[in-house]
Amino acid sequence: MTSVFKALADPTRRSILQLLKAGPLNAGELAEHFDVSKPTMSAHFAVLREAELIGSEKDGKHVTYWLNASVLEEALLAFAGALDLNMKPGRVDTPAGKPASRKS
Amino acid sequence: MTDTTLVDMAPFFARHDRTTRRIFVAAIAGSFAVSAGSLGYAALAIGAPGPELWVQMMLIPLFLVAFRTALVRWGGKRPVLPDESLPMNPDDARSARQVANAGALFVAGIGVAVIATQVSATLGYFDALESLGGADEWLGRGGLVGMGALMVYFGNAWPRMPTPRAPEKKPATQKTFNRLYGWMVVTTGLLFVLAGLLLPDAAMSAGVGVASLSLVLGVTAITVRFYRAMKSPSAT
Repeated sequence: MTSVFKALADPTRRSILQLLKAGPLNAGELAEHFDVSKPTMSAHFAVLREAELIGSEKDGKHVTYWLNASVLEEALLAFAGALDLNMKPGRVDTPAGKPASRKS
Repeated sequence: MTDTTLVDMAPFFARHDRTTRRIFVAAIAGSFAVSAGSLGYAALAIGAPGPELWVQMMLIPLFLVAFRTALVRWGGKRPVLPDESLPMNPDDARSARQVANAGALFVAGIGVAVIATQVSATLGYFDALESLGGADEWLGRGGLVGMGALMVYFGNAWPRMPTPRAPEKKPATQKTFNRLYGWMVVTTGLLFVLAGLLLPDAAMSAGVGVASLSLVLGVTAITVRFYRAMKSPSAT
């Protein structure tokens, strides 16, 4: 359960899960929504996979990801999202309310 | 990232199906045995069992038979290959095991709950529970809370049920409906638990009745919508 909380603590990872609610997506399609580097995205995917919140499958050059969260985990995701209402994919809101892009 | 090594899940599901079948056979046999014992004892003790006992002792085991029949009839077929193997990637295999094990535990819990209900009904019929001094009420409530907890456990795992990812199989639609089913079962289970713990007797029975009816209607409505969505050309 610790790994689930760790995974849900990050807004980018929560956004990835929100996107996957609509259906399976490959790594490239997911990365388009975020302003972060490929290694950072890979690290996020690894954390989510370790928490068993997503599943993945390699198909040729693509890796497809899908949501694998249980009902409780989805409720926790919604709860975490409700506590962080400024959550937007790939962005971190500054205290002044201006979004700052994150490159890493 | 998942490598391309696939896991053959056919042996696991063969074992799982065998176990589930044994659980059902044991529960149905046990339930009919309790019915026979109850009705037989009533015949010896009071001459003829009343209609109330007859109905309970005949209908309750038939519920298990109907449950098993529905699972076999509408449970769906696994996509086994011609060589009888069922390859899955490791992530799907892990999820499939979790959901299947939760299902087996749920079935075992239903069997225990059914038999406990019959025993409780028999003891109640012969006023044998009065000596428990109010504890009998908590027997029924405990059963309801246990049943609710099992529903929460099984419904929680349901969205993890693996779905095919070929676009023509509409994986997004299948996942969405698995999530809906899971939420519905978990919500009903929570209502059972809350009703068992908090509501007074009369309200508890009414609450459980309403929650059960809502579950049946909800699952039916979702299933109809699911089949419509699967036929829709715009579904993904």
